[in-house]
Amino acid sequence: MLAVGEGLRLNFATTMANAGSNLLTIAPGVASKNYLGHSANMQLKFTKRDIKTITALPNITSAAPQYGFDTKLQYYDRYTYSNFQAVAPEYAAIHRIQVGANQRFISAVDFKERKLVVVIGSKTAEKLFAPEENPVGNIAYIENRPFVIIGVMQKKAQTWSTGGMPDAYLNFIPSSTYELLNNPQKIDTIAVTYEDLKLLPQTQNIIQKIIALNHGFDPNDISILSFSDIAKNQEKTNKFFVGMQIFLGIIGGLTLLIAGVGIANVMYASVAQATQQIGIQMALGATKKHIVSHYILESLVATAIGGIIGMIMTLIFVFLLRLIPMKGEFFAVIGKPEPVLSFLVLTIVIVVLGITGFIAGLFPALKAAKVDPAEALVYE
Amino acid sequence: MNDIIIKLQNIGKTYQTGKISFEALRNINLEIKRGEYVAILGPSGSGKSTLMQIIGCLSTPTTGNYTLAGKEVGGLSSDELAKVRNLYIGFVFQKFNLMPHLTVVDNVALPLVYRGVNDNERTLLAKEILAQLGLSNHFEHRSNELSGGQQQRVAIARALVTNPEVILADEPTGNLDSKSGAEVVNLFNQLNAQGKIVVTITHDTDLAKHAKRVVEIHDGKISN
Repeated sequence: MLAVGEGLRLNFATTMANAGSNLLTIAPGVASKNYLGHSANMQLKFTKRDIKTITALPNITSAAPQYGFDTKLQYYDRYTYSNFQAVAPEYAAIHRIQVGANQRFISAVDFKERKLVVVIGSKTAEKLFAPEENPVGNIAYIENRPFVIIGVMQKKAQTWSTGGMPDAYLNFIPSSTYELLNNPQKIDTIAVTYEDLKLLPQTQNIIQKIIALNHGFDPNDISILSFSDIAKNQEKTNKFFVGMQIFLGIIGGLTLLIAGVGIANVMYASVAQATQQIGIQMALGATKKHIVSHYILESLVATAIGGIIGMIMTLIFVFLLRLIPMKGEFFAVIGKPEPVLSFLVLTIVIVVLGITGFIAGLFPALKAAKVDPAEALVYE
Repeated sequence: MNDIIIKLQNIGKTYQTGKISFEALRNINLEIKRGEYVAILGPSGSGKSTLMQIIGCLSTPTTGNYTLAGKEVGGLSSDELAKVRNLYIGFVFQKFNLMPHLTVVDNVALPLVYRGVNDNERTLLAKEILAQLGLSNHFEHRSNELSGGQQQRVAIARALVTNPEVILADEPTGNLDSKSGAEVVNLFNQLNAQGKIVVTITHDTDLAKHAKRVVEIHDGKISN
């Protein structure tokens, strides 16, 4: 049980890491109150100046504008409606995007020269091209402008992204190109990378105040910006999985409890059967301590044997479970859950088993210690 | 030094089952000195088994005082009684009461376990006693592989291994054929000659007459 939970949790941690850590996405919000001539409900609009100010802040490694739009992507007579993100070259590193061999993500040169290039998602590629066709080098049209396909994103398991959908469904063009073609009046979101997670709350606070100053908003109005921080999301998800593991652990624990009651029962029977022997031992000078430790030891040995058998069966089960082929959308997104017998899980199991064995043995042992030797010796 | 090892004064024992009480022993006074060989003789139901339990510190009297080797036993806890038994008393039972899952050596060494003697020394002492009783060939046997006479000799070896002051034997020949019984009687005579107190509890007058002193018990009272 615990092994399965641990597997799910670790798996999720890696898929979450695929979404890019140390990334903070900032979206504009709306003022919540009147301030110096600004009325409430005034929409904040990011400008290039905001990007520059944020980049200059401590703990910030980069800040890049991002634009999102939905439109048609056409390749000869085939087309698909899809979501596009106009991003900076750093986006690939932040989101751990990988393209195929001899392909590239948006490069610094692409960005600087505002080239008409597009990196398409694996899902887009499936829709526009046959499996044997190589999309790279072909020209596809976005709003009647020709874009060269420079890369196809490789499939990866991912659970969270800026666009609200897995990267496989997204397509990317340079944000500089987008700015050239559309001359956007506002920046949709700003993607920020930072160095130290511990300093993040302060960093967010400074960004909040400085953006407010740039636009003449109230520096204390927290509703003008919304931050989404992947690391924090990751932490939440991790907590959820720890919770799930605890739940699985409780089920396992209940099973152990039942097993413990079973052992205790057998031990009670064993004590009852051995009453005369206990009496003899006592006649020969055995104290309560001798008798109690004898039966607790017996119970621990029984539990240990059971535990070892259980452990071997778990190893076999884990091995078999890993053999099951798990394919499809669902597993592509969450990743294949493989049970993991970690050191922590093993330690917990051994400690819990020990306690179970001890308690299961304790009560029958105390009963054994209460045997009256005089009665036990006439006991038939 | 006081030679009186076992001293019972006005001992009474009453069993209580719900509202019914049964007086098993009444006003027992008995002194046994070092080197004595005493038989406690009585028919079944006479209270002789209860008397054996009290002498053997397996149960405590309801009334009266019991002093064993100069020490009052009355107020002791069950663990303290266990230590007293281990130090002073060697039990021999009618049904031998050996541990079926242990070897002969381990059976004999068992009282030493409770005394905290280490493994090597225990084995050495057990083997020494067994050899003296002619059981050298049976060290590693289980009790069910031995004859009744052999089992009783193993039990006697177990009683002797702690070198106790008192050998307390409850119908020691009751489950034996006459030849084996005679061997046990012989053994008790030798032990007594070496200075041990031997107390046998029996209903068998033939066994009782081997003792130097016979205490008869009827209806919970000593009658002679």
